Amino acid sequence: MDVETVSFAIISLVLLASGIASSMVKRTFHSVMFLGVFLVSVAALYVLLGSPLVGVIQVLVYVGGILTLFVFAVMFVAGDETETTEAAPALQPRSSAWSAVAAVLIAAAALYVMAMYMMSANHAAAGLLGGHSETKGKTEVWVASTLAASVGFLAGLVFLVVVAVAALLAWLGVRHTIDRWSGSRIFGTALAGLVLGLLLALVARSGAWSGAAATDANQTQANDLDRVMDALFGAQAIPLEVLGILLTAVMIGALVLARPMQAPPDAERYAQVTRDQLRESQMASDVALHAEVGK
Amino acid sequence: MIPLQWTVMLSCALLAVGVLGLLTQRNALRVLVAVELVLNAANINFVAFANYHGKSDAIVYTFIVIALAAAEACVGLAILIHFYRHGRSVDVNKSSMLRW
Repeated sequence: MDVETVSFAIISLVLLASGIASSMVKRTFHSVMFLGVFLVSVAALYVLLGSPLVGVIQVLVYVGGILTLFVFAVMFVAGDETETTEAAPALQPRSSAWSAVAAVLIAAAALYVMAMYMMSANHAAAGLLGGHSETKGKTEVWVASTLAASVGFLAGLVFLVVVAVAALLAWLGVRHTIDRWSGSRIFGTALAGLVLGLLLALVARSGAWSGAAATDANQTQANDLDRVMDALFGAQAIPLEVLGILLTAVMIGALVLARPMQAPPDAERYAQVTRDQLRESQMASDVALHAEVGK
Repeated sequence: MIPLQWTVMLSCALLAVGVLGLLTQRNALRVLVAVELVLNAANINFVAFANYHGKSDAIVYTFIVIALAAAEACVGLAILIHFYRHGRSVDVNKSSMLRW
């Protein structure tokens, strides 16, 4: 257990806890504050992984900009409906268990794709980003691919089992039991955590990754500022340009959205004032006219 | 060095947390918070693989994703405030303006 491992464990725990807490806490403002904890922890993780530059950008843009925006949004829409009450819980209880299953399936699919990529990068030496030329025997490739495929298969199997159990219970006529089970958010979260933990344990033991870790040389190379800027304005210039166009569009769109749709609430009062002034001036001129005539 | 599989597993778990929040929240603001979780989970992978392969391109893509998240939060919150002005609510279940 070296320092890096312990730090990684602590950061992981904080990330998972704050991520879950941001969807579970009652008040929206607390949710945003947990998002802040999450974002700062992600920055710490970037530093730990060897990219302090990304960590700095993360704190500057995310915590300094986006989080402030969220806090302002909470301030604008603060009201009874943003606070969750017993009558209107933050989570949709009926569908929370199914949502948990869907979330785990999506995560499993992502894990599966990355395991496949690792296999291709390690063994076939033809990764998308290039880099590794470590070739091994074809048998090992086959075994590793089978393991990766079994991860996806297991995810599908778990999903099928859950569906089958739910259908069986529904057929047995214990509908209210299902409703009560799936109604509790604890059940959904526990189910998701259990299945995801199983999947992660399986992948961790599968040997598909073969203890792959970044080397010092690679870390230095990837985070060298000259290289990053070369990539930013060289090979990745077109994505950067597209991003510029997107940001312009976003700016215009936000301006259009932020513009008040109807006249401001003061407009009526101003109109009233001018009308009153007009009437007064008319009356004054009438009085003057009468005075003229009277003479 | 942190083994690559740990980082990938962590980001998968965070993705699951984010998607779970995305699917179960009713408050539009909290849905946006969940979207931020998902984007950060993706970014962790970018950084991990950039350091593993020694390539700077993934670092650049991390910046692009961060800028994209800023843009998304900007428009998302503008729509949220507009929605709130329109119906005095931020409940996504009540957003039926564009439903036929």
